[in-house]
Amino acid sequence: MSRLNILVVEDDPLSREVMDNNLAGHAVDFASDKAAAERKLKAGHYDICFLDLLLGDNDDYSGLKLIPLAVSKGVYSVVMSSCDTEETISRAYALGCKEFYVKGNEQQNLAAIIARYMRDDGGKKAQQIFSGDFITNDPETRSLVSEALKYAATELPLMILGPSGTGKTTLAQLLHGHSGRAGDFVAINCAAYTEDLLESELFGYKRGSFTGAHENRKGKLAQADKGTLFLDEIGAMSQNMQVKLLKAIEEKSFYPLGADKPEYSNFRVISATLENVQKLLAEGKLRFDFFQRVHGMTIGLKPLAQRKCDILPLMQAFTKGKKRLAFELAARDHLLAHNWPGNTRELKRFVELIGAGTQGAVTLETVRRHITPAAAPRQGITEPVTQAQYDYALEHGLSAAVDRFTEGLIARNLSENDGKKAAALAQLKISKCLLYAALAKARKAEENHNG
Amino acid sequence: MADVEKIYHNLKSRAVGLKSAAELLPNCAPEKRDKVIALMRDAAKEIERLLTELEAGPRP
Repeated sequence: MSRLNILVVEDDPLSREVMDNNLAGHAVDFASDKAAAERKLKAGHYDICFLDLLLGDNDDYSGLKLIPLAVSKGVYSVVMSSCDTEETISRAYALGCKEFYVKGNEQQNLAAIIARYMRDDGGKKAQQIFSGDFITNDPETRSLVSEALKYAATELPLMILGPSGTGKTTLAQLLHGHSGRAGDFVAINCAAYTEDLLESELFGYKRGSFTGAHENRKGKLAQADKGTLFLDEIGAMSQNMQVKLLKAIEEKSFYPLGADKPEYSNFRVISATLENVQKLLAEGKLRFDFFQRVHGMTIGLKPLAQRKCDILPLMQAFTKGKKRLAFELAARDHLLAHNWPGNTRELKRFVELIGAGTQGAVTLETVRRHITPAAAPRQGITEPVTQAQYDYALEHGLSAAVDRFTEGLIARNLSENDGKKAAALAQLKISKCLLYAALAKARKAEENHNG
Repeated sequence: MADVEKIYHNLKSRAVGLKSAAELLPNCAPEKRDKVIALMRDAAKEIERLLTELEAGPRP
């Protein structure tokens, strides 16, 4: 996270100390009265200004009077006050403050405010994300990830669905990076352990609690204190384990194996599975009460075969800083025609293989040698619709779902063809009428979205 | 703001400050810990003073 310039306008020395501690890592400046705050706002270049409203015993809402100055200097203004009457809140927002908080929960609130500020920093962040941390040109995936990022700085659990190799762990790391949480990102693949081993990995153990436990060991829950616990492949977890974990998630406390006292950990859960969650629930493999604790918001990642516009950008990213590859046209077409059943992981391995075994100019023959078409699943027959599409149809009706699917296909095709409408008409075999109707709808939806 | 309202506001503000400081105290660096405790004592004294003022004032 980059270092921000922050001004805290606060008359109470204890509150200043609290802010100073909670804003560690940023350049923090303080002003204890209106005159000092005005001087600093005029002279300095601050990103965020936290304002108390009453500055001194006989003060008449000096903090409110500072908001217009801060706003005129382009500073993101946040009120943190104990004075939270409806009238004061309305006045603060009318004067241009961006967020209003009642004092008393600084640790969580400050982290959330800063994460939100960083995310909304002029839309530059989104561009950086999609060309760096989570590479995608697919409009639907971009929209899903952007939506998920809005929840990154909350306490809500998140669930990521998608086939193996679609970037579930990368997305979980991205969400943790935008959460503002000071602790670590701790990942565990639940399918990689037996029930007993999973329990000791998650909860940790005390010395002597079982044969071979020669010393105390911290579990993943404790390691994820103030951070994020990423539970991959939760569908592989036993019912018994789900009950134990459910309690730990609910109470944020747990007993390591062999411990007689509980331990506490303030972790946030992000879970993932490649399986169909509804099927897991219907078959009783996933407990409904456990599911409820881990699925605050669900993000469904599409397989690479459904976002082929990402193949070339991902390949470029995989060769960044290494030998660059040049594919002849036929080789490129072959790559785009392949289904990539192993998704991003398969693509990365392919790039590594090609990079190690060729001079840099890649022919169709080389590509054919390293791609096994037989491995490709019969897409469209095994899974004609994605879970996200199905859920959307249930919520909004078939007609709306068909419209959305049509618009998505057209948007993707236009994106792959640099916006050339003639190509979309020819490749999708659609009428001009349908194309322009879909574009008009998308424009209207965007206008509504932008308010 | 009326005097009694100011007392309530200041009480709330000091008490919340104490709560937030108590939360950060366990993770406070040793060199800062004493400073925070001293400030917390000042805040506690101020709460005591405000309560006395409230007792002495007119009852609702």
